[in-house]
Amino acid sequence: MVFKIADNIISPLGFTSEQNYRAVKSGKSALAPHNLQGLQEKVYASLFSDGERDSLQVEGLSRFESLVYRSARQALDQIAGQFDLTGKDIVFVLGTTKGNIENLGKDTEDDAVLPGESARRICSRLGITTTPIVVCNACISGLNSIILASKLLESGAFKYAVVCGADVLGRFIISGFQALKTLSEEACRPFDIERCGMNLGEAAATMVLSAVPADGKSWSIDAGSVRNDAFNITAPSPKGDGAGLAISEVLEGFDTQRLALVNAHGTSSLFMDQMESVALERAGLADVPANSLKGYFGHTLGAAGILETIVTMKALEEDLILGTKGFEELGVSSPIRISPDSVPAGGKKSFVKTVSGFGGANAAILASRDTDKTDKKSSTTDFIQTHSVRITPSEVIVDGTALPHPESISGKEMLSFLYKEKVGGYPQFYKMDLMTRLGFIASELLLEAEGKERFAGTDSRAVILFNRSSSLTTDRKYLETISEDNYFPSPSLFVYTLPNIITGEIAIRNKYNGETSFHILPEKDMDLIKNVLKAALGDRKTQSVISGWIDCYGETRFEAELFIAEKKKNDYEREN
Amino acid sequence: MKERIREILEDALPLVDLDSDFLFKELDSLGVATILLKLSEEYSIKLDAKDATPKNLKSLDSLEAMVKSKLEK
Repeated sequence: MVFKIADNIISPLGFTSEQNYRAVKSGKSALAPHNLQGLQEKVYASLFSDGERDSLQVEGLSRFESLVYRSARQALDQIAGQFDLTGKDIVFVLGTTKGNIENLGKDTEDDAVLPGESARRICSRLGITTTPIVVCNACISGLNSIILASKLLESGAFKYAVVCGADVLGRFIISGFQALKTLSEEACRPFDIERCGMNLGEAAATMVLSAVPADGKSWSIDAGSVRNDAFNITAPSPKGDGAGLAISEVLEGFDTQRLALVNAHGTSSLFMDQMESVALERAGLADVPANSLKGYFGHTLGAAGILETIVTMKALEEDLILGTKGFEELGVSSPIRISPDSVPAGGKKSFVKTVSGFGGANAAILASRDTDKTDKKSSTTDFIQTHSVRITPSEVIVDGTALPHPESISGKEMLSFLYKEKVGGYPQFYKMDLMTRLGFIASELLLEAEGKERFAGTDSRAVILFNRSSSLTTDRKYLETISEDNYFPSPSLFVYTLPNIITGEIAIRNKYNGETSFHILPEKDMDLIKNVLKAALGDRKTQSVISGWIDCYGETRFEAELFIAEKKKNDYEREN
Repeated sequence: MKERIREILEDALPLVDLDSDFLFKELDSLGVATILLKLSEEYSIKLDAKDATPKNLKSLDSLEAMVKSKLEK
């Protein structure tokens, strides 16, 4: 259990958490139609005005970095002097889907667009000296950041975490969603019978988390879970598999009568809303009020999980369950409780927050205030490395032994060679981008070396990967499809501009319903990676992790170093 | 018209329960696209993503109502 000791939201509805909450409470929405230069279709979204952008800009930082810095700075100012920002016991966790991507191709160096470098620049301005972690897990990035930070604090690796989620919108992101046909041309209508897509929004939201409460009224994050559907990289599981598992796990041992509500993802997309209703019913929460805040902010991508958690906390402090703007008539198969109007919470101070995203990723947290703070989840677990694989354009090493291959084969062809020689029969391989092929092949060799039964399905194995380059190679390829003289955005390429798709592909292949996460660091920091894995294995269900480093800068410059981390046997035996 | 729509969709989507209490839950994106395409072809009407609401895809009756509405325009 960890505690929120400060927070901030910057969105087109306001520049503080309080302003944003008051705007939502009054029914105000930031969604509006916009014609953006370089896009061929109008977009209905929540965007900062030019004046707001100017006022948020920080000299020497990009628009994205300025937004994150402003939000984190405001949150930290609320607790100024309470702890030393330059100490080793504070970590900065940034949740974002695409960070500085709108600067790609604008005469900038690679480092300018890499999320890890971006996080480091922000840390430098904030005065934080430890290595930052960027959680890049599609639309669950924000909530996943809270969960990762909570686990790191619970494991004792750090005492404080500055957790910020943010994304800014431009041609790259909007064109991709338009190509995928997921956007509505009107204001979104979460869970409604006439919904026909989602709206995007830009925002930053920050929570400062502490291992100890600031006072008796602090909100606590009591539990968090990330689980994969193992179904499809873009479509949610119709049975709500991953979301259902995540919700059930955070509610384990919790009396659901104490729940005020579920603040759902509720994007207003056809299949995601439907899936969520099924997951809530499966988790026994059909009778618990649920709401969505997308009708006020749009889908703020990396910010969503944090922003919506903060707004829900503020509403419950006034004993209120906020209405779902845009909702009129239930349009999902399960009979969940959605209301267009705000209603009293009946004095209850606990809620579940859920999000889901591409790559089959789902996350849930349980948060509460003024309740029994008995901590039942915190733990740390050591691990042993059982098998390893290293792949570069010129060599393949499994458990320390080089695999023979024709001398003429190298670079991208190496991966096709390995697929034909060692895998085969999985045509989806040829649809993957280069980095995903690399991760897929490395995982296949790793699992072959492990020699255990495969494809039986399990939620006890996680897939947690790290890199520095994000999805840079595919980002560049996608950018070519939206050039001004040849505008034809590719939906299939756009999907692979989310690096966490690798973890989803591995989960689908192996029927893994455990955690899948993708983290970006400014450089390979094995101590930090070990801390993340120890924290992940502290989760009672997770017994092993496919993990490691995977970077791809081009067809002749890539590297995968994957390994299996098994929970130490004595820890495993104690729990069983 | 409803029976003709049933015939068309039984042929195009043989695994889908067309009598489901909420037809939309039986569909994936390919199923939705197939319905829009087949009904567009059969009735020479224009159907696009905006028509793919759960309301229109709720049942065979709602599909019939959507087609009739388009034909009246």
